[in-house]
Amino acid sequence: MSTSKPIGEVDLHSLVDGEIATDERAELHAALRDDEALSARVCELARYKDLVQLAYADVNPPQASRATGGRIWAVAASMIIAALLAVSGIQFLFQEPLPSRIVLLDPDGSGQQLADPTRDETRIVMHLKAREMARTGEVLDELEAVLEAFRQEGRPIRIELVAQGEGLELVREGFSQYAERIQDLAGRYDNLTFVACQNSIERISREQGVEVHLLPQVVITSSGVSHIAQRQAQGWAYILI
Amino acid sequence: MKKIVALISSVVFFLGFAAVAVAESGYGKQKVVYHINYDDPKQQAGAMRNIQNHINAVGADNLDLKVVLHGKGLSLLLTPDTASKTKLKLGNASDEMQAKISGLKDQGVDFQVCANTLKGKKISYEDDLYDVDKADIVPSGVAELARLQAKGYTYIKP
Repeated sequence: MSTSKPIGEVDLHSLVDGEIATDERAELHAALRDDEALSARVCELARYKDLVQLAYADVNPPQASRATGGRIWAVAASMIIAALLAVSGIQFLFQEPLPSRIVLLDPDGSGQQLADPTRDETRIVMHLKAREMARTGEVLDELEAVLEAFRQEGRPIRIELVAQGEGLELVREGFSQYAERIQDLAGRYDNLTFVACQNSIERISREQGVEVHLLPQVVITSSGVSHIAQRQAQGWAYILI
Repeated sequence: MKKIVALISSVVFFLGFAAVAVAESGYGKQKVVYHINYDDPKQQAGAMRNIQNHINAVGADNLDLKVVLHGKGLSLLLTPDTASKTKLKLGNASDEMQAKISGLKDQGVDFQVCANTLKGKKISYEDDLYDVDKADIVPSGVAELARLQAKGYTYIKP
């Protein structure tokens, strides 16, 4: 795939299914970062894929001796899937637009900017899980001090702040005392990413029966902890705040 | 010929002895950075205990251990009577704590202090902190934690 060729539905499906060459994937991720509509479409596809897998999870593979029965099962399964897809599609249409920007965090660990392997880049994944730290906002002072120092010295750095558990408060709309500060920081430093944990969001929704809204600058990862583990495996430094 | 055999066997004997010495602790050489950014004196005392236990297990000679202090963590070295003139709430460097810190330093532990915090919390490292000199100051605690990890130090937050 060349950059001039437009990205088609087939490319997106290949991406979601993981059936894509490494260099093409990098190009697609770069495109997704710049295009909100496109990244929303990929998230939608990934969701459908999950639903399909979920629908198939309890369906036993048909046995050779009962070809007719198997056929009935297959028809039934596909009807269930079709129904599920229709329902979720309808839900999707009537849903409020998702409160936050959904951007796929690229698996190659380059963050929002493309990584430049020729330069010796500092990469830090910060883990925010304490409510107290979310309230004092001290972590934002420290982030800014580090980012500013590196910028003035012309040294490349990339930081992800992963808010998880009680730390999620820092990036919740209506709960964070630092909404403006976060907007300002995210606007000034494109090498800083605020990441929220989907598991934590779902737990709060479930336990407190509320809808969780995030600040618009925040991107979501399905599991904060596994995201952090992945980053460490990619050579990022880890700091627990 | 006899001489060569004697030389080789003594070299082998010496190497074996050295290997036993390293293997004695069972851990080999370690590079570790401890991170403290909280001011609860109990938690800090616990961290000092962890470090001493770590040294006991691995042996001071096999251990390159640094403690990076930033934010409220500087209270570990802040003397109780000077705390009020800074913007930190607590000064936890009591006589007892000072003795523990100095005991760890004697075993080769480095305590590194974040310059951003000194400036932000209006702390003078010469007047307000226990036994800190210029070489102990790093420009940024966070950046130092990242730098050390990139150099192969294992990160521990007690």
